[in-house]
Amino acid sequence: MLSGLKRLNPFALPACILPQLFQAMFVRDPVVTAISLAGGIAVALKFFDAKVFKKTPMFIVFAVAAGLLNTFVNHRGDTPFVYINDSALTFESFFYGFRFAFAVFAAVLWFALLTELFTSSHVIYVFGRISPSLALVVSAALRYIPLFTARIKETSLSHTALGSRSDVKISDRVRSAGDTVATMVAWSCETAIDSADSMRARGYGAAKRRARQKRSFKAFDGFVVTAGIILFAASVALIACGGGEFNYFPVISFSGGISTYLLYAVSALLSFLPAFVELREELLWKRSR
Amino acid sequence: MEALTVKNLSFKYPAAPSRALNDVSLSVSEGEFVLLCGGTGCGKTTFLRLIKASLAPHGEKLGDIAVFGKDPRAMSIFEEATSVGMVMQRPESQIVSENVIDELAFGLSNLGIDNSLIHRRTAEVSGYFGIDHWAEKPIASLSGGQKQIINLASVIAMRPKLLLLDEPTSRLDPISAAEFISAVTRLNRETGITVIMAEHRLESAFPVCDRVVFMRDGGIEVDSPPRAAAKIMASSENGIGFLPPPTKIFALGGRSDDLPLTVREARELIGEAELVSGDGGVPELLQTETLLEAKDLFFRYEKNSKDVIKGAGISVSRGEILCLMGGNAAGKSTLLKCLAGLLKPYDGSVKISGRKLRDMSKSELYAKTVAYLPQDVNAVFSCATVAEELAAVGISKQDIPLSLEPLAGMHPYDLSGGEQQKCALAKITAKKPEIILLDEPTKGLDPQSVKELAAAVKAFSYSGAAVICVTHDSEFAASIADSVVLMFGGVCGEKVSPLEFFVGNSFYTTAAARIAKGHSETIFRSEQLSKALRKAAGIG
Repeated sequence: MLSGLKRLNPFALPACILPQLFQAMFVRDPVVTAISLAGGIAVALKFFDAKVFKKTPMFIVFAVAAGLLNTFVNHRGDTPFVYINDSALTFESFFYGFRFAFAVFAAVLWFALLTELFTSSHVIYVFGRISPSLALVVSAALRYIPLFTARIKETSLSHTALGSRSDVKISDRVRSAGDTVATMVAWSCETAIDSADSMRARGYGAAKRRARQKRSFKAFDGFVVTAGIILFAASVALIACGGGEFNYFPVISFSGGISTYLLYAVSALLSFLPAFVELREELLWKRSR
Repeated sequence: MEALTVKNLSFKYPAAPSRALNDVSLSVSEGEFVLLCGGTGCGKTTFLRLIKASLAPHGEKLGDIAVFGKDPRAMSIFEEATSVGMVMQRPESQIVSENVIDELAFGLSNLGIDNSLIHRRTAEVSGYFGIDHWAEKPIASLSGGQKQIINLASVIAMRPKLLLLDEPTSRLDPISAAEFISAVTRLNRETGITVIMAEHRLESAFPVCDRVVFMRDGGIEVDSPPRAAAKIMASSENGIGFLPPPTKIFALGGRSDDLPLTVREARELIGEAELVSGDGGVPELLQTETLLEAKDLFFRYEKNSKDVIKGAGISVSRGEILCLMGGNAAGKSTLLKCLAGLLKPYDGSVKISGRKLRDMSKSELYAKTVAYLPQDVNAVFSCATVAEELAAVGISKQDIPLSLEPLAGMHPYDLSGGEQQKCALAKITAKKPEIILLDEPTKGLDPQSVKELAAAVKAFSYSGAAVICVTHDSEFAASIADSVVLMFGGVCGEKVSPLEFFVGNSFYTTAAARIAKGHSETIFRSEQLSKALRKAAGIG
């Protein structure tokens, strides 16, 4: 798939995505949450297509449930719907829970995008530039996860088929799990000797390890990193100056003020930065036709 | 120049009673392709590892080794890594990186080479070995054959002048094995790299190598070009098992004066002669009580993945040995696990002696009814000694089978491939199961162990058990099967007699059937053809 984000330098990509997680998780202002979610959806539409929207009804139910749950736990707020056992179920409390659900959704969405975009080859590249030996550890770890998973499956099937233990008695099940672990440890140690030999045979430790590749850091990568960092710093500074100080209790009140409006503007730019990168890619493609 | 000179080399492992290598002398010229053969424990691996100093075992060593005139122990890590390359048996455990490109670059990164040169070298080898189109893939998604090619390419990227291969194809299916050997042959022909390859499976390597070295008990028995080596090996009881099938058939057929190395040569030698197998009529499929019957099985691993088994059906009767054959990813292993009740098909039924497998409890199913041997027998071992492994399934010290008695005190991992297989087989069949399911049991075994395995499998069937054996190995299947099923794309073919299967096929068949094609309608086993050759020559 044609993607500007995937084509960014692996060092530029985090500068573009990590601030989004901050915004989704730590800014309490519902407007910022909404902007962040909108920016996330704009990009997610490209990578996850219609799947994101299929879950919308489910999500609305979840958000309403989160709001309702909050009203039962938190009785603050001045606008009661109803009294139960002398405790008020308030609108403010409902809204707080409702917004919180959206914040969770925005954070999940950005995390999903991060894992979709930041693949193992990005991880290896980033570590490789910082420390090639560390990159090897990361790469080996990534390789051993599927390897061990497959091996555990095979081992546990084989032990089931040995049938020396019943599936009903707890003591038997514990012992059989113990057997599986024993097999896994011995088997892995055995293959580790092979791996070590194969590393030594290929000169491991002969010299300081060098990274395999070098990817160019283009002007646009520089732009994305600068924009990401400046916008992130600006939003932190604006919050520190009292921007986005949204009050939920006792009554929902919107503080307004210049710093808050500025924060919304900065938020919008930051949240739609990834979408902008994708848009630029589309334009590049169109221009080339 | 001599790539390798070994003079009077002897080696003894610290705890061993006798020498692993005994007064071995060998010299290999630059550009030669040397095939090293011999049974398990004959000293092949020790020999290769002594040449590669970084992998040399500890022990008492006498004699001299010179690699391009230099003692390997005097080489720096850098020098050694770039002059002697080594690929070992297990494709899986030699790989350290997560994806193909990183693995190809692994050795070069170790050497501290500039990254533009790393890029060029990895690009070059991936082009040469045709890896380009899967270079971006994660290692976990590759087949064993592809992994072994990656191991080879990663070593070659460092440009060694001497390539050592320690049974590199023993864990591969025959097609991947032939591909691997042809890659090595091509490398040797096109780049002039010196190759020393230890191998069990010789049909592809024997005819193309420059020299065959046959080792036994730590010494070199034969060291000659293939044709001459075949002649000498044919005349010794131990050597004959290691010959490629066509050569072996002729040697046993009393035609040692003119030994073919390939099927084509064998057919030329037979010429117009008529071959009579001397066997009776066509053997019928067994008509005994059906023990296991599966119908219309459908299986997939994930809800949204593709079907691996697509309506497969199979049945096996008491005393029958059924060989389930087919290419990679045909679904053979998956089907076997479904039959064992270890994977649950989402449609179709498996019945054992008329009862639905789904209705049987695990304790009922696995204790005395079904036994399953996984492809990698390591998955079966969980104890510190062979005796404990067997005790865990209720075999007491007195009841340990004769062949395993001397190994009782050893750790299962210290056994050879053949011994491990024996131990695992004893463990899974301890409770005398009625149905035995074997997944690729000949993988990694030397010819002698394959013979013993065949005898063990036949013994199970004589005692009334039904055996289903997944195998790639046509020669093995021909020697044990009562019936054969060919699987392709998740579907089982019709069950046929081995005669119909092997005589009828042109590619999925044995060397004997290929040689006898057009001469006989009944010959497909090596012994049959040898016998017919003897008859035709008027011997015995």
